[in-house]
Amino acid sequence: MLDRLGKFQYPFLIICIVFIYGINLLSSYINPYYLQIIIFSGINIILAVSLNVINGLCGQFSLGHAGFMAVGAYLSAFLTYYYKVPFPIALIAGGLASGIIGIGVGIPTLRLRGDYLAIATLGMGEIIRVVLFNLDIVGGARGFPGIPKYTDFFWVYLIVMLVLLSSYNLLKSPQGRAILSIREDEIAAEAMGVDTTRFKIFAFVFGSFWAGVAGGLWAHYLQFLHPSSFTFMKSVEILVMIVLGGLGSIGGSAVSAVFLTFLPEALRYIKVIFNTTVDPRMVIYSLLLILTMLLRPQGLIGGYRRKVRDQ
Amino acid sequence: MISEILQQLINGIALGSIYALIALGYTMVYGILKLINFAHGDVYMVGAFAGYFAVTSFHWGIMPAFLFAMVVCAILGVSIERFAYRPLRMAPRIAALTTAIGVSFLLENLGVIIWSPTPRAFPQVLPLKIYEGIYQRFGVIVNNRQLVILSVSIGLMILLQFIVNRTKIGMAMRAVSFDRETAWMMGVNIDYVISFTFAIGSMLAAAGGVLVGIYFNRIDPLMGVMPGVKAFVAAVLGGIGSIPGAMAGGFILGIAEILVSAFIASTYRDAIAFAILIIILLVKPSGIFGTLTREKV
Amino acid sequence: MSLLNLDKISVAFGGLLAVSDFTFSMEDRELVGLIGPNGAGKTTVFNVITGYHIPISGKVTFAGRDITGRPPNYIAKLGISRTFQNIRLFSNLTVLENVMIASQMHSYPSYLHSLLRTSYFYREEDTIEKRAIKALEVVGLSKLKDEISKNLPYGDQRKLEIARAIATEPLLILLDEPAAGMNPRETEELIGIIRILRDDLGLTIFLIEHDMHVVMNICERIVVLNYGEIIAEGTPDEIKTKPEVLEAYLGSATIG
Repeated sequence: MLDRLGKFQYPFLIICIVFIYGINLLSSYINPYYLQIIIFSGINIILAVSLNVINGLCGQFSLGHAGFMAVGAYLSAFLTYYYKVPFPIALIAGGLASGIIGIGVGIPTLRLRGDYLAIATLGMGEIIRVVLFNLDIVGGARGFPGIPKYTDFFWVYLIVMLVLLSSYNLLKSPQGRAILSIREDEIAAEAMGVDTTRFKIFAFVFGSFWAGVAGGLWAHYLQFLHPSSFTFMKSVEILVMIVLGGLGSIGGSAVSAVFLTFLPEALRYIKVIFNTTVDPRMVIYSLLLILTMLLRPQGLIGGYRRKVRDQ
Repeated sequence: MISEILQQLINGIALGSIYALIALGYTMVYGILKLINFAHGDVYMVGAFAGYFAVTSFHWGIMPAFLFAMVVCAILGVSIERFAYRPLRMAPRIAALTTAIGVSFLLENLGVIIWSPTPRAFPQVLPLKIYEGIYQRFGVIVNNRQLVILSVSIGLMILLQFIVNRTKIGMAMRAVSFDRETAWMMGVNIDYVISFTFAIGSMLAAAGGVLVGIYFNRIDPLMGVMPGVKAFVAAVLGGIGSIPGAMAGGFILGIAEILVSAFIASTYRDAIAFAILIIILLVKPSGIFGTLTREKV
Repeated sequence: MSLLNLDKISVAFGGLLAVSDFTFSMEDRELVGLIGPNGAGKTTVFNVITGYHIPISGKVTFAGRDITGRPPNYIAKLGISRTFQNIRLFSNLTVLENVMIASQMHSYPSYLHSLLRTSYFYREEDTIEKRAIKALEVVGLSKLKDEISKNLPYGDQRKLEIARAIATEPLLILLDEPAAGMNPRETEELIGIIRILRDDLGLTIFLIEHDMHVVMNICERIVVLNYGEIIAEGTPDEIKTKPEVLEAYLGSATIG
């Protein structure tokens, strides 16, 4: 979709940036409750799209995305809190750190098949969490409070734009096609000269980098971090988004990320209406996962289909 | 020092037999369907609760409670397979894996909603008895619960080995996990064999659940999460698809976990399982008893 | 100097010797056939050449270079391409995309160019697409370029594999049972395509095939494999009459 802009990408990007900046100036007039949902939607879009590059485009079933998010969150918070590093630099540093972890996860798992890979990445995500749990300099089990609130509408949606643009550009490029070929048939891809090792690692790095940046945004909005936010459950929440939106569909993941951010809030009303203390959110999530795979595995919204190059 | 190590070894073996019971279910299902049944750990949890209700609500004794839990879980396991996995038997593995995750979460969160997340105390069906004699001689505390766990687990494993190796259905199970299509062409009822496999695996998990209730005394709806993943690691360690492997893996993992927890740091207790997983996947992904199958080019 | 040279190649799977002492060479622009009963080890030979199996002994040399045990994508870049016995298409991608993945092998703009969409990037994309369409035209599939490849009829899928293989602009192409499952008309088309590959594109072709009509018609030279060993080698006429060949094939194929 975005790629159709072709040579107009740069002007389009500038217009969007101006637009986002403008909205940001008005953001103080928006109901803070809605603003919060909008901000979380943006962060979830970044998480979903970045995971989709690894799982949907490259076909590597990674279940440890929360770990990448955690690394970026903690490192960027560490930098701003202790060293007063400017926010954009802290975000990038967090992303780079996650990217390095992405290499660390990608390389050993190269030879692993689907389900083994899933479990290995799950394990790595958990190891990251346990390590953070034991790292007292960032709060460990007590958590990391007092992170400055640097995240606002502008930063979140600027990065959303960058993620969407870079993902689309990646997809409709030789590198993107190579990544897709790995998903479709790795053995044939090798025979056609695709360096599957390099591209798998790249997919992991790309995905983990943006997850790390999303983590940084998250940390500087909530102003508090605790390892329990980054469990396997979090990875599954992101997985639900991309499954629902269609594995391999970037637009689909973005839409479903927004949908699944609004859904729990909508469900809150149900709780009020029925006057219960029960939180059916996770039950609905799991039912969504199961039903989607059984009835429409290509996702409710997107699908595998997308065109080959810019118009 | 020796007695300290011995003590922890005994604790580790007790824990390991639980892991082994759960791991057996994972390994059998993977062997026959090439699917990681993420929901298996939660079947174990349901077993614990079934046993709990058998004792508290129905006021049954320990044996009927065991049997009740095993029956409930067998039905649960077979239903999960029938409704969530069977439709996806021909689908790409990622689809089945995703569904399995969904079922797992569904069970956990239904459990939280229905039974509340607060842990419950499993009733004292087996009054604690410590063997003083052994304590005098070796300086280790061995209680009757550990003996029960060990004897029940080993008993069930022997029974399983018998079924798998000496009965017709066991042969069918082995045939289907080796080559499903050929077994089908030879007249094996694939659906029945797969359901049977799920039933047995779930029954073992249920037994594990009740034993854990007896031994550790507390159950809660999320109790299956960690043991589930760890038992899977145990199955991978021993060689996924291999029944002796699951048993070996379970014991090794249980002992390793207790030893690390006692002598290195208890906060890294959960991490040891994942560390073992990563190491195994890097060094010998087929596990101790497993054989690597290559994709035909 | 021969283009391809296999020197005493042996391949083992566990304790089983699948190929033993396979010695063979090919000159530029030759069209050689590899035949033998099922399980003789033919695809294994292809897999060794293309880097999917590492032989336990022996050497594979291509254009003067030792390529034994090198990874498949390295070998592909040197100029060896192949099709697969069981079709391995990128099923969910279009016909054109399938071929572009091959045609892009020699033109990878850097990540920066792709992400930033420079004019260099667009020029390369154009080249890649044009190269792909040319390959499709050779096999006659250019009209179907936007079809999703898994929806193609079987014969077209086989042709697509060939188009994809030639799009890497190789020197040597290995065709693994390209005529399998094809009806007589498609088989004639295939023979025509293979002739174009050799005559117009100047490719050297190594061909595994069970369809003797194809083999006898186009191969200049034939190597016969049985139980992993070469049992005969020569022109189609020579091979036809050799008793060892007839014996190996007894009951399994028709010759002529």
